Amino acid sequence: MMTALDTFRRATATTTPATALASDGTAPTAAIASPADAATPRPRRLPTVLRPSRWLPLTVTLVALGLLWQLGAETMPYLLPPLADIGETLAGNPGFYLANAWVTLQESLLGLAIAFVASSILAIAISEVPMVKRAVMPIAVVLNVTPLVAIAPALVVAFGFGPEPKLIVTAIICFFPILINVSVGLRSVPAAVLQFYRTIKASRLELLWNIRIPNALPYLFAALKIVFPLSIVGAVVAEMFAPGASEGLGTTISLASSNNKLPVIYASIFILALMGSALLGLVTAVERRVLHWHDTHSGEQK
Amino acid sequence: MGSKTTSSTTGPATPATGDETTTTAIRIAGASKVYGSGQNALVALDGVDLTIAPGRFVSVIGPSGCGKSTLLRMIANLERPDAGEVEIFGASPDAACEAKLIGFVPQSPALLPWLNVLQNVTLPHRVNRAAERKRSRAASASPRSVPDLEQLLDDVGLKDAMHKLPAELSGGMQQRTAIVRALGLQPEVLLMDEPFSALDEFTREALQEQLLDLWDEIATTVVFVTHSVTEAVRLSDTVVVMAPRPGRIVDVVDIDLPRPRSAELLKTPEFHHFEDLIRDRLQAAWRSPELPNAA
Repeated sequence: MMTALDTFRRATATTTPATALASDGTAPTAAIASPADAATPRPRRLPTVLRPSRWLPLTVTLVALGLLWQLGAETMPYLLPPLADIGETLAGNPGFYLANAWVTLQESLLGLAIAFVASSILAIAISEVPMVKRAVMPIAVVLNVTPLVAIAPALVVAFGFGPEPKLIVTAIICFFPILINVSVGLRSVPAAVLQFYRTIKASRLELLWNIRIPNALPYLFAALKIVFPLSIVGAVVAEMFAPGASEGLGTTISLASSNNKLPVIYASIFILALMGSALLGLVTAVERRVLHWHDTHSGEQK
Repeated sequence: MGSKTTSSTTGPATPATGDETTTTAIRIAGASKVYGSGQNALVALDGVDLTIAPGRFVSVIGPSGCGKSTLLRMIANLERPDAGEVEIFGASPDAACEAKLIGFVPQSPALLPWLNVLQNVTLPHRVNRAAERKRSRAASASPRSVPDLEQLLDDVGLKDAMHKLPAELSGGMQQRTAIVRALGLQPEVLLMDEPFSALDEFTREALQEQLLDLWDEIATTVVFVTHSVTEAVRLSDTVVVMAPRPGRIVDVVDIDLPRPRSAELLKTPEFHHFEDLIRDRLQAAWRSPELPNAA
């Protein structure tokens, strides 16, 4: 009896930190250990993530969706492939998918990098010189509202089947959110801060480097959270319009659809979704480290 | 509108180079400022004259819209007068800012949220480094030794908070940081724009005392804008009373209470005498016929 109680205590002691770490607001009830539980100790307690209250809702949704999918696949075999087929093609040729995913990832990250450098420089120019803003902003807005899918084929014609059109499309799609957010961030320094530094005649460069750029960082990260997943969209769209290209998940999808290989299409889509989520998770993690001072992390999480 | 000159006999001695202009720290002559035009024109300042001797603690008090903040912002080179002129140790406000002669404490602490307290007070020393040369050339400006900022922070009770971010501090601690940031520059002129107005009564009185202690050591010229009569009387050598529409100076009252002025002094009849005097002046200005909408 005594030992059973001890193991219980040890078990609760180890689960407590896990509870605190995992409390992102999805299951507040899981964090509260009721007195009734303590009075009647069960032999084993599960870590928070393994408790049904945490994993059950999503599992139920996934199972329901899976069942609906299977039902759809049986009634409309030309629209949806059976899940087993998708799993089979993924497991049967993982190297193929990894290689193509790597190509697409490289394109999207490189395109994003180009957009980041170009739009950051332009954002600084816009923020420092009002004339540049008037000259450039209308074009940037028009470029932003022009459907990307319409630009892609033209770029493929112009630049061929190499990486160039993919990088350009990705860069264009990522360009605008960064430009707008960063230029707003550079210009939203509180007036009193600027007044103080004006009374000691800090130069524009000093203001930019010490005050405006750090002030724009939260805005930049907000843009990056939009733009990282978008970069994959850009790369895939460009790949689809360059069917002569040999690699990339967009090419894979485009080829598979002309051959009616539904499982391959959905396997690629699955990987793309996974990639997008991973990139988003990465940006969020970096943001938490870099912007530890910013109040979105101390305030809103509660 | 006669010229109002604060007496310069009791101010702490400042190093003079023998130049005539060095007997005044701040000289404002016929300064006017109008916002807007036509029917909507608001005369923020109407031909204001004010001369402040070096080392004096001068408060500017008045109701909203009397132009007291405009006056301060003109000295700080954040606004230019439409007419008249402003001089700081014989130089233009622009030149005074170039030489970092001015320490400005805004109404809100205006700290940089990504820098800790120590970094917030050291950053001003890392910008506009050319100021040191200009300052030594500027008329009558005393040579500046590099102040010990950590010591200054310690003096105002921020030793333990030195490596904290502004968001982790109380409002009073943030404003103390802003004061150290300005005083750390060892300015010839310290300009404070209602710096304690957002604080609670206790914090406010504690900060007044700390400010007086710091001022005792640094002995700089202070212009302190406030709307609190008690605060003005406690802190100042001279209180400048202003009235609105148009913004103008209606009186200049010298407060010859002994220093140091502890919290005990606030209860004395002498203190109340000055408070009542300034309240009377403010109310007289409020009722004056120059006010068009007097009810």
